[in-house]
Amino acid sequence: MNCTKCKTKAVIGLPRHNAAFCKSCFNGFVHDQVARAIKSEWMFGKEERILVAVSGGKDSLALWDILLKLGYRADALYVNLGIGTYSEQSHAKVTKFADAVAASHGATLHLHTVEQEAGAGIKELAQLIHRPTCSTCGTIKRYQFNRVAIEQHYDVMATGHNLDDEAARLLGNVLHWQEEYLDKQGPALPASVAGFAKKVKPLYRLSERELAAYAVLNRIDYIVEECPMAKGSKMLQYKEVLNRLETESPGTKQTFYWGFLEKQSKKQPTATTMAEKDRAVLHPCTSCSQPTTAEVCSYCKMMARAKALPIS
Amino acid sequence: MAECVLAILPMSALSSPMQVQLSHPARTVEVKGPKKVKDLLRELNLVVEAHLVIKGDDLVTEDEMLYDADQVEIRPVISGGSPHVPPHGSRLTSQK
Repeated sequence: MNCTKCKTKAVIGLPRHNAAFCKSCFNGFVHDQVARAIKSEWMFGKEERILVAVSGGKDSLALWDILLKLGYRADALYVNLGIGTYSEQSHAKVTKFADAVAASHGATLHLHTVEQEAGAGIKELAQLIHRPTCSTCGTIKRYQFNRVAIEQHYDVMATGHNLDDEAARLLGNVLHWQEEYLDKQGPALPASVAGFAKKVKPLYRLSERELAAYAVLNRIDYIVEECPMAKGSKMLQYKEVLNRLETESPGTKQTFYWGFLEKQSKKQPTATTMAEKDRAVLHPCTSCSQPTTAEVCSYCKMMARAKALPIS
Repeated sequence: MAECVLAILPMSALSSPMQVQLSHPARTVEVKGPKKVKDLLRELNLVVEAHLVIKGDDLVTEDEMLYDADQVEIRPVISGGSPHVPPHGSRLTSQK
């Protein structure tokens, strides 16, 4: 198989684009897809400060790498969840990338450790407050990423969600007819109320396989192991189903998600509507001031419960 | 007599099988080469879209031929276990 562009030996075939690329042309393809995502969704400009949410996985480290190589001002935040050796290994991967690659671009890595604040890791915390681990994890990460973005005056927060993530989530929402969540499935969410950072997903045009290939080709050392808390999750099941469909019929995932985005954009001016809706229901948490629909936000409630109960 | 038998056997029959490293869980399986990447994935019942095949340090395409002497890693690409159901009022409904 030869590269579609330069005709040298290809390293990856992309059936959904009916193309194959060598390393150099593939890197060009990936950078171009991210640049198109940033431009078409008005995500951020070259002068704005970006906070990348990094986990040690391929997507978030690839995102940080791509943004720095495209010349953006991108720092990162890593949240150490305290999941035993998994967190130790992912933390080490992030630190290694920050030292070896990001530092030479003048980028900074911020760190938040759940155990330092909550007195326990995510698994123990979830057990203590009787909530699913993934749900507890989501609440903590959302809160901390938003907190750091606001406190450190970043213009926008970027996450490594890719095409597979978004297509799987869309499938889950459609299967359960959770229409109320569809409005917020776009690749760019505005800073609709004070206390909320703007959030973007610059990798939504790239598949999980393409991002893994980018990491391998560019020697980005990421954590290959799955999060031990994620085993058997619905998201993984949806991704498996979509990948079987994609293999039989290339382009299925992008047709599904991009088609959804196109329909949403024609339906209504989403950003304005979302901001109006948010302003109507959100107000500052009485404890921490981050926006919430309740008097006290879910993060503060969770931490209050955790601190009130003894950790065995 | 032994020399005659060796002479008519194909070279692939004389070498040890290809070592293929898999993940989730981490394990190594032996597969007889030569074999195309796409046939190796099919034989192991693995979906192309969910895996990368790495020969030595290099990524290889589905039409690449693999031989017994090759060190092969089949790396899964799927990650993430966030709930698709977000808590009420949340802005991001999943996290990487």
